[in-house]
Amino acid sequence: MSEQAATVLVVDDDPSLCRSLQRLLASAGHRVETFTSAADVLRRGFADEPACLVLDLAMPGMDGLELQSRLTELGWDPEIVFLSGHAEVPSSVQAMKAGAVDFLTKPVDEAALLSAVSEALARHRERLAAQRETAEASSRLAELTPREREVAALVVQGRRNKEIAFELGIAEKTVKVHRGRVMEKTGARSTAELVQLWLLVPPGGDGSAS
Amino acid sequence: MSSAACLMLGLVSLTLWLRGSRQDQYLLAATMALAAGASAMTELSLAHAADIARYEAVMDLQILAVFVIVVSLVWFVYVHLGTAPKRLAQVITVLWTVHVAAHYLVPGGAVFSEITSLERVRAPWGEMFTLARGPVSPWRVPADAASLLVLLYLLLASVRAWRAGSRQRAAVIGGGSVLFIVLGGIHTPLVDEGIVHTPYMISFAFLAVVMAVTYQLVEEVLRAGRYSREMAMRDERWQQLLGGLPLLVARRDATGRIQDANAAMLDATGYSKEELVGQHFAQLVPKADMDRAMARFGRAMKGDAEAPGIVQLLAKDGSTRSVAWSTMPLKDADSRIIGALSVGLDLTEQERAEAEIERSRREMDRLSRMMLLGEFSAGLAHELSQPLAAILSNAQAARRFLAKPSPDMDEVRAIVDDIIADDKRAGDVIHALRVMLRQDHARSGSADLSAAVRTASSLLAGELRSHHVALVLRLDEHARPVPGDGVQIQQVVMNLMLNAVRAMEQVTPARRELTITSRVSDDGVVVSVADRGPGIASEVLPTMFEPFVTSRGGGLGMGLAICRRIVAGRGGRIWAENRQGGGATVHFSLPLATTGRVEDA
Repeated sequence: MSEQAATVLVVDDDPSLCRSLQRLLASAGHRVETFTSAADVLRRGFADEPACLVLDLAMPGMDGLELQSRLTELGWDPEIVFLSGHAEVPSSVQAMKAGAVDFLTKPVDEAALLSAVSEALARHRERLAAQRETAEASSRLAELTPREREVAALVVQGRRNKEIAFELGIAEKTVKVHRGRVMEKTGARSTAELVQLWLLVPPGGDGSAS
Repeated sequence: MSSAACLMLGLVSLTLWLRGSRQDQYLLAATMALAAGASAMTELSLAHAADIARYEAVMDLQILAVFVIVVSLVWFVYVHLGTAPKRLAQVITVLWTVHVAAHYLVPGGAVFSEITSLERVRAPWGEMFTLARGPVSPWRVPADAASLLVLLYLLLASVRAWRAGSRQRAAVIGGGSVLFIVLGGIHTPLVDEGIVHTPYMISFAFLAVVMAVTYQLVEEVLRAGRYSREMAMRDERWQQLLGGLPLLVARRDATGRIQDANAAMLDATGYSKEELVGQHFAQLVPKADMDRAMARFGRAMKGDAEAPGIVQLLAKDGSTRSVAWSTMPLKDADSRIIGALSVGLDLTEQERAEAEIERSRREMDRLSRMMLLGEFSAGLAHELSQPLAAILSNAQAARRFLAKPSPDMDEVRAIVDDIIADDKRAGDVIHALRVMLRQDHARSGSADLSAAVRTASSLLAGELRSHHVALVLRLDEHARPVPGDGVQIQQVVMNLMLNAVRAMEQVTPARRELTITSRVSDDGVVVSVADRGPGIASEVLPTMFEPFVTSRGGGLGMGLAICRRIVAGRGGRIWAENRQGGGATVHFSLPLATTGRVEDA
């Protein structure tokens, strides 16, 4: 998979701290944007890009934890590295539960920050790749005819062709033809791959919509 | 015999006059007594005159003596009793002068127009004496009239003196005058008219008067003696009283030398009485107070009593005491200023106690500031960690940039600039903190209110941030200095800001806005700290500035009480109200500092 350009978003109401983190991350080769309020981050929005937030916990107006939950609500879920003036146990627990990559205290050491940011970006890349696969799978499954879908559903349950034929009240030969088309349309090279693809697409969220 | 008595009494009076205060009354009494002595002798000569020529010669002298007696008596009474009618005394003097003048100018004299014969007469007591016979002179009339007037005069003066309370004087003078009138005023004309056959006894009358007068004078001298003894005793009692008095008392002469001092004064200075008396007071005044002390003494020497004023007292051991002195001029009998009496209240202990109270007040202030600090220490740590974090990240970034083959030096320079700025920022916070926790703060002077608000804001920036409180400053740009110490005003602002932050803990972060407004007018400055919290319950509003009144757990309830004390101590006021649209505002007002004020210890 080719490396898509990743962005690190530094969010802190203190412009000087923003600048210093930007420099540090830029020196490690990251593309960095800075924001001095949570609202500015929301205004920016997110495309399908690998991104990571280096987010100050305590800010006037909307704080870090609130921004985290808003982003989740909006379906934008970049990975988050929290920064805090001091280790606040309840806040850090909440942040980590909500999926934060790390919770660092200021002043933050470069090694800890850079590794947390790298990990966050890697995670986000992985997550984006998985999402892409899922999307691909569901678009492939969407191409199946209703009969092919019925056949596929039974195939992934591990039924034999004869059983499927009996179940659907069709000839075993016809089952074989449908099965061949399913494998062709989905690109699955084996029954195991078909099963994998089928599981990626949430049940009910499948091709019935099309 | 009566002549000798009169002469002696005259000498007594003269002695009194010479040794005493040279009062006119002694001189008049002496003159009268001596003239009475002379009169007694002439009377004797008349009684034994051998021929008319001799009789007339003696008569000339006697008339003069009687004239002197009467006139001195009249004026003595006038001076001595102080109640005699002056006009009457003048009339008597004039009449008698006319009589005497006539005697020397009119042929034959003013007693008899002419002495026709001398008669040897036997007195009732068997003695033989000489009497003149002849027609009575019309010039006798002024003297007879004057005698009646003298009677009237003496009675008037005595009665008035009696009524005025000088009973003894009145009795003696009045009694003497009755004898005088009986013997002199009535008897003498009777003898002259030949109705009564006795020698003239006018000198006895005068003797009585002279005795009365002399008795009176001696009595008064004795009384003065008693009085002065009494005064001495009273003075001793005074000394005892002054000795036991907690006030410092000192007497100075007109040159400023100390003449006397009480025990408290000796205690305070550490000198013995022998050492202190004779010293110039300047030696008891420290240099700093010298001009003032001299000015005060100078004014007292001009006759003005000095209102209490504090002049330091320099003790023998070099220590000083704070004394509030009242000084009044001392005058002699002629109202000449002969020195000054100073009474001082030693304020040293009181000042020490006040200093102690002031010290504990400051300590309490400091403790309250430390407590205040405890309330936002977490925020403060954040506020300090912010620049430190920026410095660290900048430094590490710089190191990475510099490790590159061709480092971007402009970037590195920008980094270093940021590091310096952040370091200063952290330093400012620490400085503000140190100032806030310093032990002593000036009570006087003037402060920049806007600066105090900004420093308070910078110290609380972390606290505001961690509570998601947005701060809005609307400070009047026409900054004018307010009285007092900036740190204490900052303390007030910080207390109010922290209260506002706490009040907004329960409201949604988006609403958490703290607004500080200042308005400057000629009357003073009003600072308002407004929050968007739940507001203040109406039952709390009246008491919220009392000590130990708190609406939140964990607080001691001292914050607002301290605010009120600080504000009130500068002549200001603090009050609170609820805001429209929710929240509360606490206002405090301060008068403007008087410009160009000099530190006055």
